[in-house]
Amino acid sequence: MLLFAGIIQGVVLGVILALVTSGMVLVYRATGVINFAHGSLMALAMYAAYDVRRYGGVDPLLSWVAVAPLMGFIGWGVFRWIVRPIRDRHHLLVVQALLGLSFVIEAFLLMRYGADLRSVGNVFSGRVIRLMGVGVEMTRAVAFVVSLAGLGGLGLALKHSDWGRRLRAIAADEMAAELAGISVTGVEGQVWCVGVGILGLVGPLLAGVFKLTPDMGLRYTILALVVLIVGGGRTMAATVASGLLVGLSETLGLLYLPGSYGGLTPYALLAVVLMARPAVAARMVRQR
Amino acid sequence: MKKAEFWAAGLVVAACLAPFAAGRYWLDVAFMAAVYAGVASAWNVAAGFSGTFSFGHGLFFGIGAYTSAMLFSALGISPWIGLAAGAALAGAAGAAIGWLGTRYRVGGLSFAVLTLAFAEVALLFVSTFDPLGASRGISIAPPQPPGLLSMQFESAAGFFLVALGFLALCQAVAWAIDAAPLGYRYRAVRENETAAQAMGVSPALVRMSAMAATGALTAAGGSIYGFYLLFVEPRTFFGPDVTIKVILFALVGGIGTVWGPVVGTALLYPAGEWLRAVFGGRVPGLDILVYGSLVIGCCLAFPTGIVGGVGRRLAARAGRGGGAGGRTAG
Repeated sequence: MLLFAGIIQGVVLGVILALVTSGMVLVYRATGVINFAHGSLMALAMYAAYDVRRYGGVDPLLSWVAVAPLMGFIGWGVFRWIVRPIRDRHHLLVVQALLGLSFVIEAFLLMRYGADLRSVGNVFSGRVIRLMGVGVEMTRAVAFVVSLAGLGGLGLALKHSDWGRRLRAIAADEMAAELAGISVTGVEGQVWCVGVGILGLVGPLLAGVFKLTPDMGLRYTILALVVLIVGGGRTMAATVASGLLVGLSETLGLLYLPGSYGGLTPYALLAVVLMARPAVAARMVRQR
Repeated sequence: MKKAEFWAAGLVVAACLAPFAAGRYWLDVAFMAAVYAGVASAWNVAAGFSGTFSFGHGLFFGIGAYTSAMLFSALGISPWIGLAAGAALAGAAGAAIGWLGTRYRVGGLSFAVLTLAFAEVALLFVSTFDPLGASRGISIAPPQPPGLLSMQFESAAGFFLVALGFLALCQAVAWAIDAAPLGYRYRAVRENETAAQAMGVSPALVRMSAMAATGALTAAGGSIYGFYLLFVEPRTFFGPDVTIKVILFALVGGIGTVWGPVVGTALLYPAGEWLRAVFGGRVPGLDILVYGSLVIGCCLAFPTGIVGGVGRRLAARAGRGGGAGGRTAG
């Protein structure tokens, strides 16, 4: 029974992680850049939901209407003003600039909201529903459903829409795409917009699931990076599978290993996957 | 060229002497700057020279600090012997990671992520493992009597001198590797691993030796910092902060050059401390905000690093003058 409960919790966490990571995967596929500010941008979206609730009185279940476009614009701006000017230089330079951005976001959050732990309640807070006999926080369950819908929508858009075709063309061969008349920079900007905008969609909900602290960003960046690499950073299906794997390994690890050794399991998984699948490694080397 | 070297040497001497005149606070800052500069230089030996990137230098920093702290606390062994033991252990760990990387053909950014995974595992393990103090850390009883032998000093000046010695060691190693045949092998592997292998250079040996050297040097820095604080704790030593800082310093200064990491640290670290002193007390976070903006600005303004950028500009000017010696000035 404990095992079953762990599996349910792990699946819920895994799908949420998969949606959070899917933004990073899109950006990585289209522009070859790993967004090291991803977790901090998510923290920003979560705190934005806090403000919308506090000053506008709007429930986090609705505030994504405002937060998602805001995050999308920020994502586009990051690409336009930080990533694009230096992306052809040393590949660590972009990493460093994005880490710098995550410092800026973290400092801004600290200045504006202070260092206290916060959480943003919504109408479902405090309620628990039973999924196959296992109690799951209602907010978590809603985030799970939203994540599933988001991943499904993204997968369909990538596969069947014109925009998805353009994106895949750029990911496959940038120059050929340009020659075929696709505005590469334009699509890349849109991808950053969507990739970061996703955080605005799911962030307000997650603000009711995870505790908010200004320095939470880096931890989620690393977790998303683990999911990205375990999944290989290519298809939505692989990202979902790897999100599930990471979510399950963390939940079950915390359940069965003594103390907090369970937190180790996602990283152990990462090390094993990196060494067992050199193809993933080779692809990442080819980037530069 | 002679003139430029003369000025550079003068600047280095001035930078080493200035903290003594500036008082206790700046001596502490200078101590940290020297430790960071040494670690940044050590990181650069692997990343800049041989293209073996690491995001997990906290692993080595932590191994150094914890080894010497545990040996001293539990067995009363001199910090200097602990420093050597920590360096040996971290060097072995570095070589092992380098071997894993080549054996399983994990290269480039993936190798960096692999090192990050090892560092995170070590951080979480040490935070939970009780014999190493878990997340509480270990307090070190000050070694007696104070002096060079016990690595304890009553004034900050003593610590600064030790850190300068550490920095000098790192620079000597970086310079020696850069100038020696080994440096050519490193650069060959960095530029094109397959071609280097075809010429008879072993990428495995290059990666292992680079990781061993950078690991051992970084661990020495960790030991010195541990005995300066007299307290070791998982997040400070095994956490990602050290790595993020040294990569930043090395990149801003100029990656792949012998002096770039030192220049980057000398400019950025004191600037960060100054910002903290001026703004940090009044508005918590403002200093980090300005600092982060500075990082982004540096990345946009000096995409090849300060040493690289200034060197090229000097070379371009000399080139316009048509001097034959100008070409070597860069």
